[in-house]
Amino acid sequence: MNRSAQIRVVEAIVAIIIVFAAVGFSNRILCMLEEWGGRYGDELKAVGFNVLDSLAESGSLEILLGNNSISWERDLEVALITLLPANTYFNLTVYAVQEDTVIFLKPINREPITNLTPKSWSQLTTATTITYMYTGSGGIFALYLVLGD
Amino acid sequence: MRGQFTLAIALILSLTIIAASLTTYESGVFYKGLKSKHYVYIAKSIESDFRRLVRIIASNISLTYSLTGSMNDVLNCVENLKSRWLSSLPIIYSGYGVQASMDVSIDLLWNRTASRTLAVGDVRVNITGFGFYLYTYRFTAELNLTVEPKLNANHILENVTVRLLREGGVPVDFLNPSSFKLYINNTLHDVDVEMLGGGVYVLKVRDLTVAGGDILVKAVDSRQIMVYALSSI
Repeated sequence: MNRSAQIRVVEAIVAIIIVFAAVGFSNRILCMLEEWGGRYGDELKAVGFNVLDSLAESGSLEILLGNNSISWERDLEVALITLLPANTYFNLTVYAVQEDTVIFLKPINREPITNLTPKSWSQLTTATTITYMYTGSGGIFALYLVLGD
Repeated sequence: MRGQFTLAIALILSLTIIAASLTTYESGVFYKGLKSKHYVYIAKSIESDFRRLVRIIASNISLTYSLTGSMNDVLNCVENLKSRWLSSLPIIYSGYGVQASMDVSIDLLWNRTASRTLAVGDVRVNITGFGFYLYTYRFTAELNLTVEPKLNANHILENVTVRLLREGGVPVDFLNPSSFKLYINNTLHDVDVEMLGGGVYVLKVRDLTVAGGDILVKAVDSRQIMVYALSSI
């Protein structure tokens, strides 16, 4: 093989490496964009908002928060496990608006409303928080739902 | 130098691949982003809660008026609910610069053949943290009640036909029998309730001895909004 042909082969190999590197780089850059709060975070937020809004509009939150039942935290946890997609982790904290001389938020869930375990924290790749205000016959509540996948 | 053409093509192709990926991604973000940005969910949550607040106002004013009969108490009730909600908003959404102002008008047209309870709320919301100004929402909570007594051939009250409509003229159906109370000359009477559909119910009086007097019907819907209607026979 003459020298010119050898150079052509090397060029072709370099060209292939450049194209494959570009494909790999573009994949990597898209993953980084997702990690910085891309589309998936928005989708989780949409799911979280829709779940909380449907619980509110169906009257479930009125029953759970308004009646102060013994196991409302557990009931809400079961509702979230049922309504959220599989493999979605959540942690919900419910605050009641209270008024002394000033208005303040007081956490009212006596036990965590979550399906997170200490092990699952380390597995989360995307997380987002949804803030939901709920006014019912029992008063004004603030729901902070953290969702992760 | 020979061989630059292949490398140049490879470089152009690489840049095209990266640009195409980013363009596709950005298009996706832009397409979905208009509906899925964080402020949109804050605004939606406030809108949704304001709708509930207007219902709560309608429910509370009717309950207050039913208990005290005082319009001053009713107005105080509205002011308390308004100020508490407006004060809570920036605390719950702290960090987003949420500001709001609200107007609520109410109407309690009771003790007539066609009666109603009405609350109309207007809210203006700014979310300064996102540079979003002047979201405005208007919601109405209303319950209309009309009564029509029917006498039998002996001029004895046989039944009272009532019709319940909510805002937008939507019929209120599937209410429990306990949602209705019938008073004849200030005395509560037992009734059997039959739903006909279209918001129409027939309250059948069990005691068929009442010859005449004032008929007062009290109705409460599933939102706990109450209204009284009055007729005479």
